[in-house]
Amino acid sequence: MMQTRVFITGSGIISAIGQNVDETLSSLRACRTGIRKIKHLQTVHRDEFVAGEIDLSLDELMHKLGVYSESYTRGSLLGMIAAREAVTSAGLKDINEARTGLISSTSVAGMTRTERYYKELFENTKHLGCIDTHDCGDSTLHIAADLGITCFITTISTACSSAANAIMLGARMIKSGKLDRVVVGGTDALSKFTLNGFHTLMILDREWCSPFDDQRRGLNLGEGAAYLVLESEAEVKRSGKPVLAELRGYGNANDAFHQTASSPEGFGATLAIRKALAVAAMEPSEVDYINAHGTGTPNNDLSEGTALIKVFGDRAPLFSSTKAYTGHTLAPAAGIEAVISLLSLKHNVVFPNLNYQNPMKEFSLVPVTGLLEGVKLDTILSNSFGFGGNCSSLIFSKASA
Amino acid sequence: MNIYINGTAVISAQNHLGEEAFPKTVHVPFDDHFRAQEPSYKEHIAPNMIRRMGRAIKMGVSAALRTLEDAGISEADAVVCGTGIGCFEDSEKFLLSIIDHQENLLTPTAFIQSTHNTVGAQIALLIKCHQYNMTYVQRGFSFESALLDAMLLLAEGEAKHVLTGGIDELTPGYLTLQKRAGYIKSSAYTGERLRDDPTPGHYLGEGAGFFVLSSLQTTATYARLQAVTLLHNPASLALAVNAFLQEQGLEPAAISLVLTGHSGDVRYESQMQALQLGYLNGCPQLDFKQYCGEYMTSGSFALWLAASLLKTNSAPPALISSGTVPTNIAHVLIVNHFRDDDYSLILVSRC
Repeated sequence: MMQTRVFITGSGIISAIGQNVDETLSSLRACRTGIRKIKHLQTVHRDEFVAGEIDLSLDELMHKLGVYSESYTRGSLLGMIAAREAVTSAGLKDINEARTGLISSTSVAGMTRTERYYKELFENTKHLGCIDTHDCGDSTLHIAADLGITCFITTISTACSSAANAIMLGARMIKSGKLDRVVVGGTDALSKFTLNGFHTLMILDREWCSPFDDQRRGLNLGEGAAYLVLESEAEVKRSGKPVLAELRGYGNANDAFHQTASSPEGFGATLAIRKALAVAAMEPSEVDYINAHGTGTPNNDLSEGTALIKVFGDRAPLFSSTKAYTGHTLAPAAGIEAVISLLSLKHNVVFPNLNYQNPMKEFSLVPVTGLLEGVKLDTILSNSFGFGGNCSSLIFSKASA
Repeated sequence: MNIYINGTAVISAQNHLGEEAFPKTVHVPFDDHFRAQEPSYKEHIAPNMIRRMGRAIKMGVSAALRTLEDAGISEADAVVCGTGIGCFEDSEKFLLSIIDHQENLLTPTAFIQSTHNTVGAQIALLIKCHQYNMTYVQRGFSFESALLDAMLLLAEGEAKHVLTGGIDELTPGYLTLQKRAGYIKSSAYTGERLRDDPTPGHYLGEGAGFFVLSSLQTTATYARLQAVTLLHNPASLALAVNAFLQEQGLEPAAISLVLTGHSGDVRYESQMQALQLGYLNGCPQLDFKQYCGEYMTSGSFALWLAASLLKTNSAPPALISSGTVPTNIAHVLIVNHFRDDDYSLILVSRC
């Protein structure tokens, strides 16, 4: 089968380090973290944990978008901001002039709203609308309506690898000829539910997280949304538009080890990376930089590091985790890191792994710790691993159609 | 390429423990919801896990493992799940503990199990499937998205046997909230035709339906899964069904039976009624939600029913809502919808 190439023609992002792509780039270049004291989330733990929270209230988010309704959850609003930017940057004027889909992802979904009013729902009718915004499909429907997309709409929820799987499905839908263009990514807002959940698992760092450091203590949660516009080769040629990059490879595997922990030997991660390389028809040596999952938990970084050694041997490419900028945003993490990877490709820059001090005793892998400008970057691997053993990897390359 | 349904198992309000494709006696709940008749889990799940797992997980894992047995295989090349509301029981449990204990002294089990990919993850863990693993969560498209992905995997040659299914659970809390939101009928279901119901609301259901989809036909094969399409808010359902059938080279007259997803909620039924009385008027029809209730992945029950009817080449007349099913069942069309937004069409054919 003659397979089309899949190009990325637009990107949009909102996270604790910026409300659009340009602001994100500035923060990354300045090595400026967005992880700070919690301000908007109503939680008893606000002085105990830091988080990558976006400094906009629900009202401010609505104002930014020019929409006003209780039916928009924080996750929907974040998603709409990032998806609008992606579509605008791709120059899609008439969204339905080609078969255009939306594949979003979320794990928190409408819980941000449900958790505030849950008991009230049984007592009065004031917030009954929560019942319709609780499920994962809700934010996707709002984003689709906002963009005018009707052709194909779905949502993926595979925990912290969700957006990688949305990007992957988008590419496969284009390659199989079912769609010409597709907006792919994810959105999750900070919630009491996840903050307490990760707290009970004892994998939250009370200070800034330090991925791949021997003394790492855990992760910081974040929130955000990020979307890419993927287009088929034919569609890009027809419009003659410039492309940001090519999505060369993708791989999805399952660790099948434990519901919340990764195997120490990094089985699922290794398999996902190898699958992505196989789809890209690339050798490990062709990868110039890895945007690692690198959450900062003892378990993930050991498992991921072991997988990197398995795939790349003792010649691992440059790598860093950008979680210490944005916090771990869960479902959209792979989307956020895809946008960051595209910035790296475009500007030939590697953003350093913040807060790193001591090499892990298990291996000699050392992440990039200082901003590297003018690096020759042609191909980037991005990893995302989640609860339930869900492991996914993506490969982006510089390209012109 | 041809895609075959080589195994299936379902958990629904009906009693599926017998040998027949469909139980001889139809279970009518005489309640405002269709609670699933859960099988014994101990053949497939360890006792300590049965105690810990939420019902959605147990139903999903059990149906998935029974499906593999039914297909006569022990492993799959991919696990693809769909769920509208996910593990609601565990979400509720953790949320209530957050509220009741002011975010202090919580235990992680319910949180761990509350993520939407838990069923797919537990299946992968139990059958040691390290390959492709995906979970879809788009309301009335959740199961159908999983089906589309499974078909894509087979077409890509990425897998030979894909284990795919849909799962949703109802909990007392969910039922109460759905009632408060006005989605549930105020009376009990007593067996009447859902298509004739002039009142708002539906009867909430739940269940799990799994399938082994394969690129190879075996002696276990039930039927051929010919086509699946998702329609978001179609302007005309009848035109969409017409286009769908034409793509498959079929006329309505070739359809032996239509499994219609009438929910019984008069507010959302106009497109379905127009289709049933118009374009598909000549086709025998079966309102499948009379047997499983309404839930976001009810399509998995319908597909199980279609596959079973095709394999046995018989449709118990008692189940049929209108028309007479021909002696030879060749094509079964599923027309489902969730709240007049998410419509899906599935064509299943005899091998």
